[in-house]
Amino acid sequence: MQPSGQAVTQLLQAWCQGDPSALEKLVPLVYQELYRLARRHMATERPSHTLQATALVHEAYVRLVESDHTHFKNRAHFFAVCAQVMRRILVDWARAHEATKRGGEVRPLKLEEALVVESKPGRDFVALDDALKELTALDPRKAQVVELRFFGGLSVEETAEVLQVAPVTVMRDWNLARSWLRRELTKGAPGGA
Amino acid sequence: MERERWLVIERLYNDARERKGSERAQFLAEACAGDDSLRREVESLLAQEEGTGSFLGTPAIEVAAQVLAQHHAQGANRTSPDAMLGRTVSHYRILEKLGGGGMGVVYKAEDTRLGRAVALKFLPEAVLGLPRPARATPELDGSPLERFRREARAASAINHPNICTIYDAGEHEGHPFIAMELLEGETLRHLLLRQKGKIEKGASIHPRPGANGAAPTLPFERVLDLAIQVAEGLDAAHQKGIIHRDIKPANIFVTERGQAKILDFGLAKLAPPGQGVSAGDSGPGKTPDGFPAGEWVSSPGIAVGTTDYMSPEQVRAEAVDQRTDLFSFGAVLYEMATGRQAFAGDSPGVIFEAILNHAPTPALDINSSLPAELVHIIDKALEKDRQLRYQTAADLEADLHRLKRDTDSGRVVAGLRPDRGRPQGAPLRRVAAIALAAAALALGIGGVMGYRYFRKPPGPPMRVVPFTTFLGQQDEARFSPDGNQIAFSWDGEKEDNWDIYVKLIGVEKPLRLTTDPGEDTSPAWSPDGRYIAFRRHTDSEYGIYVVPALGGPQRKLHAPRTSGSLDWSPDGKYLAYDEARLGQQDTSIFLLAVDNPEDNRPLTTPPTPLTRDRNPRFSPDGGSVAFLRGLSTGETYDVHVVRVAGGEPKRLTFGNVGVGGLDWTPDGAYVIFASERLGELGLWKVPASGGEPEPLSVGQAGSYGPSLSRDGRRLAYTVRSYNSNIWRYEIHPGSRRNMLPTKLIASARFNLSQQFSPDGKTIVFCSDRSGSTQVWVCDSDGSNPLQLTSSGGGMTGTPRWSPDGRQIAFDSDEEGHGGVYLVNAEGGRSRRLTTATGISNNYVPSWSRDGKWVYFTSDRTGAWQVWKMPAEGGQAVQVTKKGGFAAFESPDGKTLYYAKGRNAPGLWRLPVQGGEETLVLEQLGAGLWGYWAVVQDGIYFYNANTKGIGFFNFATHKVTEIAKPEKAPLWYNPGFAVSPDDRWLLYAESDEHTSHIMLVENFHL
Repeated sequence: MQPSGQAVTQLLQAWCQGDPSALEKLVPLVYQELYRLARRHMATERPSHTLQATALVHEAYVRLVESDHTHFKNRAHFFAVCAQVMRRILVDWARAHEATKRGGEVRPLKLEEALVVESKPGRDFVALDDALKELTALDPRKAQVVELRFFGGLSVEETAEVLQVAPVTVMRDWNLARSWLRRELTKGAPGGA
Repeated sequence: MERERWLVIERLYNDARERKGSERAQFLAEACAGDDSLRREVESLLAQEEGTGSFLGTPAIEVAAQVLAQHHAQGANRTSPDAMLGRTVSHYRILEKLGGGGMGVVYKAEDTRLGRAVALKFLPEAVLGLPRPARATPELDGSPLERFRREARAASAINHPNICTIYDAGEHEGHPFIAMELLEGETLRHLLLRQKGKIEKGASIHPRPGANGAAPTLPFERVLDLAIQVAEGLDAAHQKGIIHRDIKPANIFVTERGQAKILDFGLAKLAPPGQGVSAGDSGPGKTPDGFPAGEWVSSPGIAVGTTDYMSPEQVRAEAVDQRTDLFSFGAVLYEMATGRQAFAGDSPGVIFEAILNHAPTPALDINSSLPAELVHIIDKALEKDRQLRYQTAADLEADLHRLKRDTDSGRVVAGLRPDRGRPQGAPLRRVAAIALAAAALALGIGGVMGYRYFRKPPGPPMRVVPFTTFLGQQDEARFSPDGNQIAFSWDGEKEDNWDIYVKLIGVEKPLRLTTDPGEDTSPAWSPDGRYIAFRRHTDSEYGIYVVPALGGPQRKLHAPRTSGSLDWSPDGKYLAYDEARLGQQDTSIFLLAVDNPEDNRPLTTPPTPLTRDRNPRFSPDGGSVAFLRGLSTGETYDVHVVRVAGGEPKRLTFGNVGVGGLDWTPDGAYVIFASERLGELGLWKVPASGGEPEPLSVGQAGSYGPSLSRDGRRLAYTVRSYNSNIWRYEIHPGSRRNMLPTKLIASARFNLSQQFSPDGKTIVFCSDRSGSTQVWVCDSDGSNPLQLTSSGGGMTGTPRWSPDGRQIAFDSDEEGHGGVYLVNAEGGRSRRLTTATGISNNYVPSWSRDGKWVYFTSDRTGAWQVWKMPAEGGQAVQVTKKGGFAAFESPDGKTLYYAKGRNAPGLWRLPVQGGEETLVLEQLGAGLWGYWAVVQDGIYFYNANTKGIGFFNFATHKVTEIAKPEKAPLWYNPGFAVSPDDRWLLYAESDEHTSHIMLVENFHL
């Protein structure tokens, strides 16, 4: 079931070289591996163990990507794929959660901790996802910066590597994108702009 | 919006951000030039500035991990659990979700074949993914899924009103499920929680006076009624030979009509020990809202089984039988009767201890209204010794029935404390205890061993496995916060470049994080596991850097003046590092603010200019730093602890021996450190509050650099293997060229510090082949090795023959600091020559050519200087004034040659009669004070620049290379000698030096 390291490596390289369809193929492969790893961790780890996402991504990378370990470019791109995967996981989850709120048996995740919108209710990953789509239409790179930084946990330098721009550009994009998103997400809310 | 307009907005936004206040307003007014909508747009974005600080500041990746884990726990494959609704699994159509817990999720479903409603419970794969229980019979062999089906089928054979009927078992997309009787009601766990909640509310208005007040419990009649039903269900199953193994309130369902039903019979057998199948309330029935959904404990998706109702035999991982269920049932009964858990605690360890060794608080002390008979029944069910417990569920059931009859007939009045005050069972138990004590006495030592056996912490035994086995040296292991990865330093496959690597436990390939040609060492994880800090030492600089733990660009935080070690504070805010900043030799521990590296301040103040504080390590609570303190002149250290808030360090050890690294236990109670207390480096523990150090049962024989995982269950350390041997080169008279070596003195481990006897027939040298470094002698061809000294701990070395051949001077650390000793060349007791002067060190003796004086090197003035004292004993006289180390007289006895320090380049000379010192040989490298020999016409030495053995001719002042050893010398150690007839040269070389990281699983102290 595990996708071959070669396939993932080739897809990564294709994507690095500008083939956008490679990303579409990569996302399910990476998703599958992340899910498999999470499941295995849950099955074998002792109680009280917490699942660390960075460790998970690291393990997925080591297992999936055949490469010279010092090949930073591959690594950064791999994390970029993970960022997309994480975004989809979270948005899907938030949608499902929204739809079945009445159930009450699903333990609510503390979304506010991650998505600090000054504790205004009703704002979650779905709203962020929608706003991000609007931003993509307006300025794709800025939306990408948010995806990589927020969903993927990439540093400014790593983001710069993936997007092939200077770190200072990433910082500027990040500032404007956050201001823009925050404005969109707080529109209409009391106290919002 | 048009692209052009957006670009304008972006430019204005960025430019405006660089301006503040009125300047910004003015800028916008000018730039927008009357375009009000443009200005509003930019201003509305700028208005977000204040709030964006934390907005999207924490990456969502950790939340995503939780979602992944939760998906798994709820048994839904790759989709939200709620996506199961409406789907058909096998021939069951899922209608509604009933409950979900840490170990499974339950749906209401319709059996489309039989048209009846069922409960469908999905079990996590954890149940199947684990090794078979030790006692599984051979015929149960087969795939885990098959085994699951068989167990479920066996359980479905029990048809009893007090057992929830299992209809079917199957699998859906890899997730096993069982179809069972659909029940309406709640679990006993919910019932007890609800009861407790109700009473406690009242109690807050009318506080209860002490322990004798009534506890929040079910009415006695209800307790008795439910207990009888459970006992009947247990009896029916036991008669079919099926043991539950996981009886607890969450596994007992109470229907709306008051019927008790035991859930999940037989399924616990599939789960690993201590991990129930249904830890949460995942029963096949509707539970009221408003209660915690199962035992989610700390984080979602973690399979948590409760240990609270385990029997002593389960805790000890012994075979279970039907009496096991009766003990667990006793614990449930106790809780029903008192409202309190029989065995409770913050950790499984505490609970296990209670289950094994302590009786619960007497039930009557909590609920004085209980009838003594019931207390007796509970006590008998909770007997720790199976032989003394109820033997069958039928016996227990009979006692409960008898009690019910007596209660109904009024013979026992519930709600009134009996006059006896004590349960009948007590005297019986006392007799049993006395009998056991007598038996233990009769068995003598056996009784003590039995006690120790009982006290043994539960859990699998420690397992030591190699973590890295690469070529070269791997060192400085540090666990990631989750304990699944280890960062370490490695000099690489070519053994030429130290870099930082990270490797997952169980995965062979490491991830290389740095590639700089400088030495990258001392990795330290950030507490969130995202970054690794390390130290770098290149030809031009020292640095403290940070790199993402997954690889990526490095950031330099600080440039200290020396190399050293590093640790990251548990709150993530500080790095602790050691640095010699104030002078050349004293080293302090510093704290550096990660966010503001300019903010760095010393945490320790070395008490002397020679003190070195090294190896800082934060305590788990971040309040203290443990470190090593020693003298820069020696290699001995002791463990100290200092509060981060300030104050004087507290000294924990008084060994005055070599120490190699330290770490804290997660509870902060102990410091684990590596020490040479027993001669060789090994791991020890010392209470952080002070006390006697004790060796660990793992990590001996050359182990150092301990690191504990955050949960304390894993330990990593470094083991060094080394081999240095003495090679002999024949010097051809006149030519001194192309000499070829032969291996003369060889063994596993160290051989070094060789010198010829004055007649050239014997060689004295040092070796640790017997376990600790001692002085040995052998014939000039290397044969007949004989151990001459047997000093206790510490290094013993640099033996030098007296000119008359009768005595050998050597140095030793055996008294905690370096001293010069003499021993007869024939052997015998050694005697100290140098007088003890506080904590100063005296090393590297050598004789004057007339045999009247012994030169040595001492740090008694605070710097290394050459001293001499009469061989017969007496007053020491200082010889050098500007630094000196390892002195030898020239063959004619007129000139004294010496190096400048342990780690200083150049060879110097001074007339024995006194005068000015002169630099003779600048080519002698730093750290090579032990690799030169003066003869009549020149000096042999190891030339680090050419990696060859050179000869410096006094007449021509030229250096000729005479040999090219294959391997490097032993830096900072002596390993060079020339025979008195100038025919043989002995060179000690490092033939092997590797180190590997070892991992201990299931570690405990």
